[in-house]
Amino acid sequence: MDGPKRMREEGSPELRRILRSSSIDEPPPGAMHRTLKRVGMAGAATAAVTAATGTAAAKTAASPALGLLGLLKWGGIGVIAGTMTLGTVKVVTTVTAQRDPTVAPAASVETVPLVRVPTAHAIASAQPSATASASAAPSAAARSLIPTVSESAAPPVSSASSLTVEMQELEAVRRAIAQGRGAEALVQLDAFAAQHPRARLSEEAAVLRIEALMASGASGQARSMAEEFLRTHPNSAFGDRVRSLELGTRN
Amino acid sequence: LDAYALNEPRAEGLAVAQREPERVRAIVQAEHAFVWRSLRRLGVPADAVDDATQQVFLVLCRRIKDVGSGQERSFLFGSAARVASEYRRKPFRHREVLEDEIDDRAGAAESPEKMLQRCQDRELLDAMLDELPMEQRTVFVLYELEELTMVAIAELIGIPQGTVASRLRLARERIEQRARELIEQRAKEGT
Repeated sequence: MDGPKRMREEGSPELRRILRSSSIDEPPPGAMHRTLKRVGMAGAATAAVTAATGTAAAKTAASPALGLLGLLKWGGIGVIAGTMTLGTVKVVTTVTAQRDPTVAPAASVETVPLVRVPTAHAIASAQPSATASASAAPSAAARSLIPTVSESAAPPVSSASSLTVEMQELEAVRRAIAQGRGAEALVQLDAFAAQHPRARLSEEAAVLRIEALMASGASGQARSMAEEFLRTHPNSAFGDRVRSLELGTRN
Repeated sequence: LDAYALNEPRAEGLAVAQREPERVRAIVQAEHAFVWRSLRRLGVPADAVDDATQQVFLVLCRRIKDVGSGQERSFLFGSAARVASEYRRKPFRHREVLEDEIDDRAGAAESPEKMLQRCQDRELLDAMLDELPMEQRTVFVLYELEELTMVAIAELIGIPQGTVASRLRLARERIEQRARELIEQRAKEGT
């Protein structure tokens, strides 16, 4: 380091705590998306939001189980197993208070088969209007995986398919981190936050953000976020993982 | 304050941006969070940071041809500092929205006591930063909160490293002194 030790590491306990309160200074979900729209890049905003989805979905189409296995192996098994149900379930999705006005209102859907991971096409077609407006009609195979809705209704969003998309996007983030592309992972996490303001896998995303910050060299921010995570999620299944990350930031 | 910072003719900026859409998009994606945090820590009220961030990038759009490769962050931070100065002069800057801000990020697991503590700490941080001259605040934020190196700060804001060091030293002294005062004041108010 080319300067004095930072005050958040060597100041009085009160001062350190005050300085660490700045860890909440992060853009809210969807902020980058809105900025891209404001500068006239609505298409780019959509691309930013869906880039990770598209990449992950395309890769998953070739190997449908990859995304699931990748996430399961790093500790999200309890959370995922609790929310992912195999078989046929009745799902009524009601998304309220969307922070991003570009995300279409959800529709009520009926029987949703969830026996396998949807194909890339099916996933893309099941996304909110940010992507749906430009997409072609889904194939017959893909159509069989999409909940039935009336023609006038908004593109369907099933709880299960959105969970699958979340998992696939986070798997792409995990790969980026594993390959040392921390900055790219952070961009993907921003897109994830924009796309899923109320993500079911928000804890997983938070853990990945800590890892991405570490991978990009921002160990101070990573440590602050890890400490914050442990404070706000004292009983999280990821607690041990985050504690080990937090220890890693001190080395 | 540069006149263009807050009175940006939007259409003009957008027209320029459309000539280099990929570059603009890449810059927004890479630097959005940095600009957002910088604006917040340079004194823009929490409920105005989104708008201020967008203004900074509108400035970028208009000036994209003048921004050399590798100079994007420096340009954005300079714009952010000017935009923040303007916001700091506005009367609504003292509005407190920290409860909402924290609530959005804390999740339901945090106890009300902890949430209140963090809310108070963040208010204290704002109060301490507000008392720094802008040039000291800038260096302090970049070094202590953004954790940039002194070399990087010198390059980012275009001043010698020695100046960075002296501004940081002065800022730290003020912050330490002010922290002691505010903590004592808080303790008295609590008793």
